[in-house]
Amino acid sequence: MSVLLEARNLEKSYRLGRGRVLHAVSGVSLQVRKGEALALVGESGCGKSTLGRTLIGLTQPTSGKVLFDGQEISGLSDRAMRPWRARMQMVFQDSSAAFNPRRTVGESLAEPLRIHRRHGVRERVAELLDQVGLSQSVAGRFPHEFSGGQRQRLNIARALALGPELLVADEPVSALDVSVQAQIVNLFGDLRASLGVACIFISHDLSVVRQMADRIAVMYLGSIVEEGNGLNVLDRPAHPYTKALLDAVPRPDRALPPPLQGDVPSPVNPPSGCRFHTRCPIAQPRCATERPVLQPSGEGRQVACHYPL
Amino acid sequence: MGGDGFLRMIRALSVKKGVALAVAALGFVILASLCAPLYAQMVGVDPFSSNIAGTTTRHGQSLDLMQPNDNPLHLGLTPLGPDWSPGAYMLGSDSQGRDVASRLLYGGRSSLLIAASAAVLCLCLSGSIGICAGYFGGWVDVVLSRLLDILWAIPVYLFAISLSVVTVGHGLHLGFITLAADSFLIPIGIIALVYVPYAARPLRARVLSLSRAEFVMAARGMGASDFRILRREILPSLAPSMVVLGPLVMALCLLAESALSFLSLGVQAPAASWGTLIQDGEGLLYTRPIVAIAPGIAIVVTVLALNVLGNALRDHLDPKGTGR
Repeated sequence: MSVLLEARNLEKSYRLGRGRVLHAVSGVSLQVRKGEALALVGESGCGKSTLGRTLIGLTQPTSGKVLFDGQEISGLSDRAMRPWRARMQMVFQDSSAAFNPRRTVGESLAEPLRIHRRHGVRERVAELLDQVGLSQSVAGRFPHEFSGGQRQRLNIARALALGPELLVADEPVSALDVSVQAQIVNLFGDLRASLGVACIFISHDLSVVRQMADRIAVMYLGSIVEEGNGLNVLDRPAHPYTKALLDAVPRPDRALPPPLQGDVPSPVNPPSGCRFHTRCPIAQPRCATERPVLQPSGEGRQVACHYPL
Repeated sequence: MGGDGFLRMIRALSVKKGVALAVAALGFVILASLCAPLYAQMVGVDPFSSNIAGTTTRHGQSLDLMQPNDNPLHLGLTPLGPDWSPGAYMLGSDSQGRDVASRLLYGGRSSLLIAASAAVLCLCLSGSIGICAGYFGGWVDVVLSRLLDILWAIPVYLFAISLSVVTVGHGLHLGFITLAADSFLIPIGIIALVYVPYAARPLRARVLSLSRAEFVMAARGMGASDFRILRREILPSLAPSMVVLGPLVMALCLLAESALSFLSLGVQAPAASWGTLIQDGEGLLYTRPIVAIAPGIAIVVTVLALNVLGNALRDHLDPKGTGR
């Protein structure tokens, strides 16, 4: 399958003043093929949301390139970016904040269609509501009148309005009850099957990721440490950090292994060498000096570790 | 907010007794001021020309407007006192033989007009500055915010007085704009300007938090232009904050106008405002205190009512407070 979205050596840093720089994303390269679902996994603060926003042009990268359908879209002006916006959309994490509270959801769903001067707005809104399993009669209501799960459906409906080829969903289910999570996970599955839309799921929840993603990229402190086929990564992690993440998921059949020591280092002042070496249970002296790069390790998998498991 | 929401707000607000009272007081003050020419005509007085030798009729008997002083030596003259019965000179006369009641009403016209216009102008300026600084951020925000800080560092009244002293003598000539020295636009502009930091800073904070809201980010992700985002996403959510600030800013403007006019730096004779009326009454404070007290009461009642109304609006529209 052909590549839809590609990131090449993406960097995003923020100047904090007094010469300090926060490296939110450092040196990320990845590819998303048409119709594929990629999950970005990592602890909060590891830069996965920033990466998601940079990928679809909501923030500009400090350096590196983003290519959509083979054409560079990073560095485009707002006006030049507009035609591309229709082809990739974001599903925001907090569905209660993602809608203008002073507008009915029908108007909010129509907004992207109006911006891009599409015809048949009313019919399209009805179709969208139908696609996400909501009644057409809800269009006249305000966002606060819906439950979290319903709002997340509306959120998805709005993202689908322009018929995008790529959805970036930032923690799409983390704010929902578990029973509702399953409904939304299924909805994403149905939509991918019927519309063939590619998805990037940003999540910290490995059990959700297992159900939603074809491929998984694990991030730590702004970089991808392991990337590969979903079940391979989850069942046989090659990077010690991936293993630690999986070990931290409670399971009924075993006691929890000892958790990782220490906190995530500050992205303002990242550790030398391998960024994980300060917390890695199998770190060697070499890890503190030499930074490992992503290298293929069989089964279409890439790992950034000197001593993969 | 639709008409339905507006009605609901009015109903919710009028449940509180203080608010109903404040609205009633404001309505009375505004209506009475609007009726100033009607009143002057009805009782047959000219509130703007000196009438020291004049007389008025009370209970069928003709009285001099300037009475002999009741000190032992009978030196000088004291204006006619109030008799509280409807008709000419019900609040007595001032030192120029003019009808105090009709001047109070005419003064209210000037004071309310200047305060309301200054409040609207101030909110327009503050809103524009707040939107530019809060939405566009970066160096625009740095420049505008520092500018506001500088303005805010100068005491409001000192600043207003300084600006007025410069313009009061010979009006304002800025390029093709020429304002006469007695134009109301001068106090309106000055008062609006000095309160810009007061209103602009909370509005900037509100715009700043709105521009980071996910629904604004969502609009940008859909490809909405800055103009569209400001018009469709930011402004509707900013409007309640501006409505809340409206009466509060107007109360401040009314006080500033009175202060400037009291110092002869605002409304210029022959026009009157509550501030100039207090100044007129200053010399009569021991003999005819009503001349200064009447406009004083008018100012207090109006400012109080505006504040009660503003606070009630805030409780209703903006319960979390706007960046203050």
